[in-house]
Amino acid sequence: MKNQAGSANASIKGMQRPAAELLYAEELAKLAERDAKNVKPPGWRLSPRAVVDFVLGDPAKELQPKFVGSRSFVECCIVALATNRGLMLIGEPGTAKSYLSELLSAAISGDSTLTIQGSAGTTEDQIKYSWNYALLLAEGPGERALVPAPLHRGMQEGKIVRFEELTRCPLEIQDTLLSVLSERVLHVPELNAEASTLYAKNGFNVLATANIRDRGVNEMSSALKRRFNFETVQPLGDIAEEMALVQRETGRLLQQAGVALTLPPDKTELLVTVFHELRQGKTLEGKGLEPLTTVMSTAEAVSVGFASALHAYYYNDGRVLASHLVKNMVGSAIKDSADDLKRVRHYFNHVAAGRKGDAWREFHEARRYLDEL
Amino acid sequence: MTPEPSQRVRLVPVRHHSPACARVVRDLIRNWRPEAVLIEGPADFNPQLHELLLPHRLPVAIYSHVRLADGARRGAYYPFCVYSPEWQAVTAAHETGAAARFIDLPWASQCRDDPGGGAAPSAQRYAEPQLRYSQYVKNLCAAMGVDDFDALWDELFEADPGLSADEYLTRAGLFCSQARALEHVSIHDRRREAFMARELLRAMEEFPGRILVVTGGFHTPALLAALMTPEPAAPVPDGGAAPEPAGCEAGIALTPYSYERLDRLIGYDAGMPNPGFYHCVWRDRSEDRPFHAEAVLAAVVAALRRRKQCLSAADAIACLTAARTLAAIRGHADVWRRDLIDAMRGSLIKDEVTRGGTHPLLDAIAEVFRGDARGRLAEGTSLPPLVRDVMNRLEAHQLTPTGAPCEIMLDLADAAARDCSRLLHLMQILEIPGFLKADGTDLTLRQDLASVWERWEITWSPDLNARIIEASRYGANLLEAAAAALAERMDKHGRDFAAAAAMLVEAALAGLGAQSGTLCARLEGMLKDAGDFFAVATALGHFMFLHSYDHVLELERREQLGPLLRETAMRGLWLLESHSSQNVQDDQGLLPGIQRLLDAFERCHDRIGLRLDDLVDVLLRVERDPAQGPLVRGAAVGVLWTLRRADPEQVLSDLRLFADPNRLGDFLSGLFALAREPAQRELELLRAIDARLCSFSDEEFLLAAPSLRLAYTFFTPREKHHLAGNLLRLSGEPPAGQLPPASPALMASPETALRALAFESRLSQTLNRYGIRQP
Repeated sequence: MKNQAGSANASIKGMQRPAAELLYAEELAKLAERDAKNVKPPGWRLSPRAVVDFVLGDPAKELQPKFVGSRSFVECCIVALATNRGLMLIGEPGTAKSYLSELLSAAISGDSTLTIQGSAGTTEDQIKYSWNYALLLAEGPGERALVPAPLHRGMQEGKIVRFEELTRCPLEIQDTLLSVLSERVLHVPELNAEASTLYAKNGFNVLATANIRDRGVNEMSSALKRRFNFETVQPLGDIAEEMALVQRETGRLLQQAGVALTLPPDKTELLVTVFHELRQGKTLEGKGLEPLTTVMSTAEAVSVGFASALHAYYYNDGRVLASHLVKNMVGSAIKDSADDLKRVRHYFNHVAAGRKGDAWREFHEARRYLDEL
Repeated sequence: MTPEPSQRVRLVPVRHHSPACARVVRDLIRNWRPEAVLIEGPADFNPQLHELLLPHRLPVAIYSHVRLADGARRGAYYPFCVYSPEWQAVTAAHETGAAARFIDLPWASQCRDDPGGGAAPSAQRYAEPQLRYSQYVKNLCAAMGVDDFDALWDELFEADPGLSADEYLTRAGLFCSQARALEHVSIHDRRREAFMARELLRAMEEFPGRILVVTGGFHTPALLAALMTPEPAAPVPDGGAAPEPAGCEAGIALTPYSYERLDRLIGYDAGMPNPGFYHCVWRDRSEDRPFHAEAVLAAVVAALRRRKQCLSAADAIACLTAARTLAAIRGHADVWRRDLIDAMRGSLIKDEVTRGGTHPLLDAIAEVFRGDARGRLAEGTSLPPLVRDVMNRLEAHQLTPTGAPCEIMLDLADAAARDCSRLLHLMQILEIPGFLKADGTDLTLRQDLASVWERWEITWSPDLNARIIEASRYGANLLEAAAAALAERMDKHGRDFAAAAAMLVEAALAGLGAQSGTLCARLEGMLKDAGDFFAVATALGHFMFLHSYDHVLELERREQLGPLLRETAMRGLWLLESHSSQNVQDDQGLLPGIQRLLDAFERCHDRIGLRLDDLVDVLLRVERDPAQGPLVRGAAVGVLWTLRRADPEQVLSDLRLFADPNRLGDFLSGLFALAREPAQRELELLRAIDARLCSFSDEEFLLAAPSLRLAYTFFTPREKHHLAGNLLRLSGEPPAGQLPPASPALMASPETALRALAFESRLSQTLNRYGIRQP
């Protein structure tokens, strides 16, 4: 999904995970140049069409493929950001919501770092602004003493502010966004008359993400809901696409870990098929299954594939066995639910048992690991 | 000298139900003034073509039906709405005085050449499967970044208001010829095209002037080729000229249609979706007004408010803004279909929407985009085919209601009575007034099947005819209409799987065996969400009855039930395993369900591909599962014992596990219910139970007594007597041979015993002869 070779930009060397605008700096510069004459929403670096091209990638235009999803969906997201409402990306965990939000803000504002990470402990200080207390005591409340948080900076500089996992914040913290989103004004009552109101510059908007099926998630007030456009990020529907993605991503992770091994394609196919069927609650032949309560996301499939390959590399001379997949899958799929264990066992006995091919047979034989739980 | 063919014949490739095509066709006829207009439509309707011009309320459809020599019925619809290119061709030709003519191969000939071709009983002839599923369209969708054929068509042809007729013809010609180049053309299509080409050539001889040909875009390249080389090198047999073969009865007539039906079709028969939306497009653009999506948005808002969903003006503004921006990004001159849907979904729905998932708002959007137009035939049209079909059948069975109410008794053992009963059940399914089943055997309960009978009351009702005409929205012949009505009712029932399964019995009673495929498919879909073991077990009973045991219903295509039966049994198995109620009262109801599962696996496994091992595996787990109640675990070990997959030691060790006076009776209830025979034979079991009981204190015994009594009710008095005898013999108390006499009711004379023995030996001989069960 991401650039493996590393860009020419020397500044990202040694970074564990460079931000999208650094990683794709060349692409963004090229796009901006080509896009110079097109109409852009006020405060945007690129036109909406160029943003779509960047996010989805287009080999014909020398753009790397990045987010995998339908064009019309990405268009909807971009349009929401161009209107006077915020954009809320919702969906199951592991559907690349945060990645999409990073790409969008990198393309639109050239900056994906104005990020608020929502959690049970998020405070208003971390969202709006706080104070440098030494200066505050020495000089009193003034602009020098104010320490802007991402929302303040986004409004001041006219950039997209990312709010990750919005629903993990308590309701009253979420609601601090209300007036900002509708009035586009931030009040700083401590400052003097003129400086006490910060009017958002063009280009500012809020891009939030939220998980639906995770635990520890709070409700959202309908007042806040009204100020967002909601777009659901779907898990990949096309199994071939998902296989390609899992293959690519495990390859990248293994390379990063210095492991000279790739997941064999038949194992990838098996892994993705199992995840796909358990997620959809339906076999490829269209038979109904009981869907798991655990989320079987593509990201989870990647991590199972990665862990299995590591396991094989260090303890089995690099031969990835179906039993590696089963062991790691059990850890991810059946973390804490006895019912899910029953469902997975049912899957083994009634779906996997009937499949042809060596990989499936091996997989079915590895079902004894289920009983070790 | 007539002009060159290329100058006097114009081929217009269209997509059926496309307003853009309809405009092009209408304008061409008005401006180019052809002498004849040839249209893709059933050629055998030509004698009645004038009926189309009556003042109908659209949509209407031509319905063509045929009964093949093997008795199978097949029907096809050619639906017309106001924005159908075919409809505009017919009306514009009438306006300008041009001759209009349908040139497609009649449905009867299509079926005759292709026996057993379509699995569906009816087909929508104006769907474009060839284009929808073509590789070219898939590639083009990927290249243009749209999701499907419908969106692609919108981009290329519909959305642009300024698309001229010439530009359209160039673009569509290119599109269709390229799509065709990548596809395999079926022999079926070749036959139709050969027929159309011949009709075209014949028309060219008949009409010296200009000729306009309106056909589905996929066929246009073939007609063009035929025009260039009028003598095909290798003629394809078309069979169209031959008269109708004997034994083949066919008919063709107009029938009312609805936007709902036009929109409902999915898959191979799908036409153009969202007729309500395109209706609005046509209404505006056909009068050279710009299309305004605001009206559609307003209709959705109104539909939502009718559903008590509050939707503010601010929401509507946000939605319209988003739609316009989307249209701008996508390069649409007017806000278009996908723009509106995407914008409404994004700005109005505040929940997660899964792929293919439903949401009240999406339903409201779908309702408006579907439109609610329902066709009505004008006065003077011949009656819809369904009315004639119903009347003929009633007449044939002398069941036509007269002034006086009458009552008839039917004994379904009689073939003629069965025919009558089926017809009456069909009428009842369609809710046609005046046909009431007052009494009779209930085949969903199946209590006494020694004689199966029904009593019907037939009365004449003033709105008999009106209701049949109304019912013709379901289909143009009785069987098809009843099947569609039943399918609709099944959908309405939603999640009640047992009730939906009972409808399959109803369908069987009505003789809808051949149509039951769609019902089975629906049930299979519902099965996925059926979470209640009792409902699934009840349904399993129905399906087993229909699949294996019925001698009254004579269900056609019974083998269709196989997959459904198998899935239901597997689902039941899964629900049994995940069942974890500790409530004995609830569990009591499980026993008949487990019995039914055992029956299904034991008796049908080889025919429908169930594996007995699956049942055994699950029951082994249930038997060991501490989350299951004693009753279910007793039943599980009982089944295993019956199947000889558990030995008596296993049963005895389980018995020790449930020796507690609170649980002993429940365990034995389950065991006795499912292992009635082995439990009587096994003396050790009796001894163990006896030992357990003797060790109870008085209080413990009183605690255990009620459930123990319940457990023993599974045995008949004679069996109980036998058990008691065994028990006495075991304890050695009265010496053998001095058992207390059984009650007189249990005594049998030697003659009776002899007769019973003779009967039993005959029975077992018969069973052996058919290999049903080894002794």
